[in-house]
Amino acid sequence: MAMSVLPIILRLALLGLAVLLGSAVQADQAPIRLLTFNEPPWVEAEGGRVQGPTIELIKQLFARAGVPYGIEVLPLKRALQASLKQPGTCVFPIERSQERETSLRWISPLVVSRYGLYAPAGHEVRLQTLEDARPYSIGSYLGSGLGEYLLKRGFSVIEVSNAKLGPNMLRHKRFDLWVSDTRSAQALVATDNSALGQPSLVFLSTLRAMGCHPDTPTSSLELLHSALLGLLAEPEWRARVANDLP
Amino acid sequence: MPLPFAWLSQRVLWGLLATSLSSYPLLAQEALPKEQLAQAQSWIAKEFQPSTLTAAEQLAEMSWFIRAAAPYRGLQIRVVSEQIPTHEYESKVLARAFADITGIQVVHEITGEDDVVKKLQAQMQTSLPIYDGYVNDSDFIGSHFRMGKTLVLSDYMAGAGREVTLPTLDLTDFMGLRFTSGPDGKLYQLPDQQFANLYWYRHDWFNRPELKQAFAQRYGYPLGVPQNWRAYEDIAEFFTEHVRELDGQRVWGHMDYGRMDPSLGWRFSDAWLGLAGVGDPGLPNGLPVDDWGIRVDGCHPVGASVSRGGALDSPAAIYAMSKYKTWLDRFAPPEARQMTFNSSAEWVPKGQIAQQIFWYTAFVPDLLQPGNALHNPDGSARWRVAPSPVGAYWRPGMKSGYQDVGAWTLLTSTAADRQAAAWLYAQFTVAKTLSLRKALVGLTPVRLSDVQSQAMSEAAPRLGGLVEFYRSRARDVWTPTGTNVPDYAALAALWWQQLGPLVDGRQTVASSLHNLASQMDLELARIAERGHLQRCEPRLGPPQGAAYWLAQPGSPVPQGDEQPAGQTLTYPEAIGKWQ
Repeated sequence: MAMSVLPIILRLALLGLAVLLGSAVQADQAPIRLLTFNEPPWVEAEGGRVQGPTIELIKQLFARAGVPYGIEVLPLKRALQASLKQPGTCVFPIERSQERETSLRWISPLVVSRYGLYAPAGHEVRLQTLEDARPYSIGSYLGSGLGEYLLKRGFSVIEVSNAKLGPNMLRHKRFDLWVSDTRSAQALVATDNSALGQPSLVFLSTLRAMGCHPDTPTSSLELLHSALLGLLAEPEWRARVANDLP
Repeated sequence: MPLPFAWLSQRVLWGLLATSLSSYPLLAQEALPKEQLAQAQSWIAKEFQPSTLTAAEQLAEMSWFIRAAAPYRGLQIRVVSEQIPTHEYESKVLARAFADITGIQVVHEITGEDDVVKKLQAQMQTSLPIYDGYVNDSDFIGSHFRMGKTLVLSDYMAGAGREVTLPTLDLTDFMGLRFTSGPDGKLYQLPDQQFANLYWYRHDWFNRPELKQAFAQRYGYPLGVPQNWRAYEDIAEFFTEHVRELDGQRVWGHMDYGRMDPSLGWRFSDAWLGLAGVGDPGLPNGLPVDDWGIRVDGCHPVGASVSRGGALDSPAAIYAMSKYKTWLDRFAPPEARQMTFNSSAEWVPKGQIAQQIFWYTAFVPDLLQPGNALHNPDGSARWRVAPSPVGAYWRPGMKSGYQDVGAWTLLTSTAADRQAAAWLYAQFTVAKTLSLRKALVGLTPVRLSDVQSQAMSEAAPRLGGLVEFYRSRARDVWTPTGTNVPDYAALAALWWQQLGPLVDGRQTVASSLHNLASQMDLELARIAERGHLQRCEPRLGPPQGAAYWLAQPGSPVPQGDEQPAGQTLTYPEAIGKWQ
């Protein structure tokens, strides 16, 4: 289901939804401020709408947990900063990593992502292991965490500020390979016809999660965690999060 | 003490293990795809040397892999492990070799240890098919035998996995099998690499006559391998505050790390409290109180706080954490407070550290890099590893140190074909054909035959005592986290969460430990409430006054003398204790 959002900082008044759900609702608690960002296909937040499978999951999750909330759309970096600094704020769906682990409290997993290396359409680059990509320059979306992962391992990485620009830059040989979440790459191809082919190698899996400010009440997080485990026990929801794995 | 594997002799596995190498020629004569056989020959010749097997035996073992993997050829599996040199080697070299030889593609991911833990936790909780195999620390054994989510390898090898179980796996050759088996005697994980936490020091500096003389003059006993924390503290003070500079560079008598990071938790949960003397004596560690301070009644954890008979906030624990904090503040480089497990490891190779009480041997390969000051012109080491000095509450028979055993772990929720392919890859990474080569690259040996090999003898002078450690009984006495911890993933985070604030002085040591012990009790209760454990769930009893438990025999013990006289030994004397 798509939802309307205001043009700049957009709040979705979903508080009532939780309140309607009865006895488990923590009605006396301040609503949790949820921040998200445009991350197709998980979250599509452009043109005044916010929708996508992760939005659906979040709605169901909070409804089952009975925790009041509201959703806003912000750029990834601002959303992340706000969650680090402002009590009662969470951001999703961000990569859960060891580097971020201590800064936030987590509800995980919302998405299991696989990351692939893509060559320009029509060019075959055979990669058996990640090590085979070492001679190539690799384009990566700034903020995805993948550039950092590859840089730390000594790969040649060019970071790009807009994920949509990546495939075009790949086509124009600004770098040899483009690294992307496989589902995001599919979504880009569908909207931009950028003609990324199949990935040369799918080399990394990550968990996308909701990261909350450390002062978020434990009681709310416990309810959300239990609700998520309940959801993922259901084949339909597990299939959505599993994302056609493996 | 007998191995806890009575089941082994009763199962078909023993028959498989008894398969002698003389049967290899029979295997080799079977018709096998020429290309794969050629790949096996090529890998044996160019990479899998040295080996404890002959070339013919290697080829026969690889031929078995080709045959066993045939039904799964073309499959791609995903496995994950932490970032240490051994796993880098597997990811870059062995995954490719396995694919070339068997036709099963492997994406062997490398990530942070905490990330491995979180993914395993997610997969165990949700059955999402994130990976087909994990290299998971045996610290999880208490979770695996309780949760019923982990493939019981001993059952699998004798049953559904019989056709894909390597006849020459030779389980009795694995040094860490005791750590990856549950109290039920079943094998849950197959060791892939293991490394110890040992005392590390600059042997060349400790033998400089002027330093020996100055130390003896100041402290009244010889500069040598410290046997207790008092001596370690004296040596730390000596180098940091009195020696200060050697050969024109600033030197430090201690190195550690303190950044708020998941790895800060390992600094303490990897037996730091045990070295101080927090747990009860005996193997397996933790009967009834372990090095996490968790007490068990039978197999049921009953609490970590002193009020429930645990020792996590006992005087010995407070002593342990006070020493950690004091030494970090007084004797380590100021940067250490902002460092993690990985970043702090970069300091020892720089050649400015005189000693480090808590040092993982997984970092030995970093010391062997050309260009650093840690080896002599002939390649021999200027450093040594030795038994860890122990704290004031430690008594003979208590845990002597920590050993990390990263072990292949498969889950019951994984599809049967992927499970079989992952099991083949797991066995491949520890097969005798290549295990010695892998051990010489990553220096985290798992097989006794590799440790006792001629190649390891030849490498020993470069390795500063590592080989001597693994050839001694110490390999059995340095132990991982035991089975008192019922849900490692749920409990491990409490260590850094509750003890992080003491590093920057936001909380006192005592209050941090009281918080940690309370949170540990609370989480044990939650674990029981969630009902995810199939057996041996926590059963917290009512709290009592601390005086009651401190008056009982064993751990927790009341406050004692925390300033015994410093004691040191020569290096030969110190490692003689391992024999």
